[in-house]
Amino acid sequence: MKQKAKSIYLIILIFVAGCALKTVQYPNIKITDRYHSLKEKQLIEDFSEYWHARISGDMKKAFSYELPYQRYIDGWKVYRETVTPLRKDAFIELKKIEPISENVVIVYKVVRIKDRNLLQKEKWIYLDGRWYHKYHQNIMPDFSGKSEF
Amino acid sequence: MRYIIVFLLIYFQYLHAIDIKVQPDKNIQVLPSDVFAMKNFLKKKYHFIATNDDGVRKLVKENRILANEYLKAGKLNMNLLKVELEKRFADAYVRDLQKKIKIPQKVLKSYYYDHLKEFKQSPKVEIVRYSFNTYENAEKFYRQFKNNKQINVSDFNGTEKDIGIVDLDRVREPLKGLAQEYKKGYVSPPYIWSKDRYDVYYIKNFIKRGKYKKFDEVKEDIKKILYDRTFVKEREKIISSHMDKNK
Repeated sequence: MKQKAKSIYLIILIFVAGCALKTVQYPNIKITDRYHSLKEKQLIEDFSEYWHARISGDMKKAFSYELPYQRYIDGWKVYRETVTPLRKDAFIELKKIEPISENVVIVYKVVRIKDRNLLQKEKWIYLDGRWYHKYHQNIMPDFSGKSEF
Repeated sequence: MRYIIVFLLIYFQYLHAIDIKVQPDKNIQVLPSDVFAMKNFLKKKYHFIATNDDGVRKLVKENRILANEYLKAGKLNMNLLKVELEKRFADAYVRDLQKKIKIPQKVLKSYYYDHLKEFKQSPKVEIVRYSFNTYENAEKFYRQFKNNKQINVSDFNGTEKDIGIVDLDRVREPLKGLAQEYKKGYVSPPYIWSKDRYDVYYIKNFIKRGKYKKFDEVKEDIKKILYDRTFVKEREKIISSHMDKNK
């Protein structure tokens, strides 16, 4: 009887662990840091969705992940003009999640394009069950003739 | 041709300008509605709540006298006044319409969380004020009180008033800055208020910056910030809808 209870417990444990590990996966996005709560798991999912949208050029979707007050101030037109999609061969790696307060985190990421690695940080804010990204507008045009990075 | 177009534009603009007539007042008197308007103005512009109606009436009357003198001297530039007033009316109209736009809670909250540092509670100070009739007494008290808090203010013909605990943000400069620098135990040199009033301030206690203000406490401030940030956009929207109507 004890043995049976043990095996049921083990099955449940494996099932729960399996569920916890299941996050959205994209070939150009890698998550190095581990999540420690469901909130962080949600962050990883939203982070992946957002950056996948930026790489695939789905700017409408990316816009929906931006902070509500930034969307309110700038609107879609300004956003489209100042925030550009990333190159298709860009690779993003989430390195570290640093909590600032209950609903605010700083995410450290590496953006890799060809042989260039750029360490960047960005702010994410948790509101009503999901995370929102804080964007920065490009003040100067890209003179290199390449994309954003 | 270009000059003709520019001239016509200015001319038509002039035709559509608001009509203002300003003349010196022959019989200067202050009505209760003037006092009410001035109180509203002081509250809106300087966050000052005036309770003394006589004082407000005096201020209105003085302004009226001086303004009349200005007009009599022929100093008024009517065109400048016109454009200034039009700008004020235009801005007020846009701001009025902006207030009718309901900003979603999510928008306000996202601003709050992103600017949390700006919404920290102000440090608090407990202040005691010592007032004197002469500078000599105030200075003597100040010099001794700095080293010995047990001395009696009445020995220097002064009075003591415990102001209590107040937000440091509400304390005027230079005391605010000095309190922030020296914190608890600071005694200010005598302040000269008038020829027979000299005050010495004592920071009895300094309570450091507290927690973050709650969202509900700052919601209205955030609304104002967002209205400011979207003012130009809103103005363009109103103008274009006005143009469409008049097509």
